[in-house]
Amino acid sequence: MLGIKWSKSLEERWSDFENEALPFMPDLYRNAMRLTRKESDAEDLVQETFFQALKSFNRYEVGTNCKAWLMMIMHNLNLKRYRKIRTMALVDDGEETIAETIPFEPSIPEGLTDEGIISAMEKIPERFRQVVILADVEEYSYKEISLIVGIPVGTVMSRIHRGRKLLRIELAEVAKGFNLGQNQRVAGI
Amino acid sequence: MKCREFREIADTYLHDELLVETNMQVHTHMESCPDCRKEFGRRRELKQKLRLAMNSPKELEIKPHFENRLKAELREYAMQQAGWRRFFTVRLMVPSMASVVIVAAIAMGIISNWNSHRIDLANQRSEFTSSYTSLLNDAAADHKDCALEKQTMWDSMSKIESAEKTLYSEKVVKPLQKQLSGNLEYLDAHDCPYAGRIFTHIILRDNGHIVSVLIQNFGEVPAMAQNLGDSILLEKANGLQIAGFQKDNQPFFVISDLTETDNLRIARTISDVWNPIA
Repeated sequence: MLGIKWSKSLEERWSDFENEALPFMPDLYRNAMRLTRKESDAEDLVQETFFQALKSFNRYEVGTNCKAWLMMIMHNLNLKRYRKIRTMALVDDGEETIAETIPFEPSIPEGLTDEGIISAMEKIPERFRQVVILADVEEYSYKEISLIVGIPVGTVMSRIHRGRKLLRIELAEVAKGFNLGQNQRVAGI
Repeated sequence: MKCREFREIADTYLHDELLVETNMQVHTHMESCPDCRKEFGRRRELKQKLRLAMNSPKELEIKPHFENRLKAELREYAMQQAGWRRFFTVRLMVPSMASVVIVAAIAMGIISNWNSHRIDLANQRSEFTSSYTSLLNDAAADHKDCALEKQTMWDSMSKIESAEKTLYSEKVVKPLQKQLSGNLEYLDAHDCPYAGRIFTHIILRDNGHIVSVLIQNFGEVPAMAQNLGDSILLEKANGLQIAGFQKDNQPFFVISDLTETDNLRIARTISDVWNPIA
């Protein structure tokens, strides 16, 4: 620590942190629940994320996109927790295989419920679900998603495209279970 | 445009990401195709419903007691850190500056003998390994977890300036770039908490190889560290070269997948140029 200068006092940094980062705790928790699907894991992840953010807050430039920065930390921590899953997810062949196994794209059934949509989303593989949520629910840009998830923008775009397609397929399956949209035709693509 | 093409790009159109010309083709197709018009309406509806559905469940809401407890713990942690840093910056800075002058004087003598001093790897490696195992492991793991796994992030952040980054640019990187030939890029410098230690983590890229310079700032230092002198000790673990040395009672590590010689050259240069007074 000798010779290391701190550009702001810790009290000032805490004040910045309190104003910039803490208001996003509910958003981060919501996302952590979607990632972990378990309350205790989500709480651990959020706690780890905010402690990591506090320790690295000197790297954050006040006034920039704090939520995206926090999300980036959280996704990196989550990937560490599930490194094996991540290693598998990074194999491109897996994505290609999934893409190739999408033989047709059904129309979206009518009368969808929240439960039906959530149920369909949960059936989508994690790496596709994650980017679809970030894009379509959290409304991050491709570039922000690229930074948060740590994958190239091109991969973000292709995963979102495939993720939405998979969602429509799962929705059709869910609708069958609920006898919804029985008269919808299946369109070839 | 055919129905199949329309359905392939309907999402992109819905999110307003198509070129103007393609937008026109989509408009024209929808005007003439009731099925695709209907399909588009449903996709638009799904987009809205998805957002609402994914945000509405009660279980996604943070529990107030957890939120309050975490905020209090964060504040307590931040204030403890403040106390710790004040202790070092105010109480220790003056005597430490005096000690640095003494150390610098001693170091001058050491440096003058530097070229005649051979690194005695054979004698010290086993001692170093046994005393430094946990420290080495932590440094190597931090290099892998932070520098290697987040390489994309550091690449994207390499142009972002920060006070710490500027400080270490002057203290470490510029002297290194001056001494070493090749393309040494500076990606980032930050505090890196890892396994109860805090390293200052400087991330460099040497001809495509990610290099971590880790300076332990907080956490237990093994007793052996006091006796390292000006030796640079080498270890290899999991395909990574680790060069460790000590300056002013601070352990330094240079970790990369460069050759042992190249990794050592960086460590030796840092050891030469390091000056704890910014």
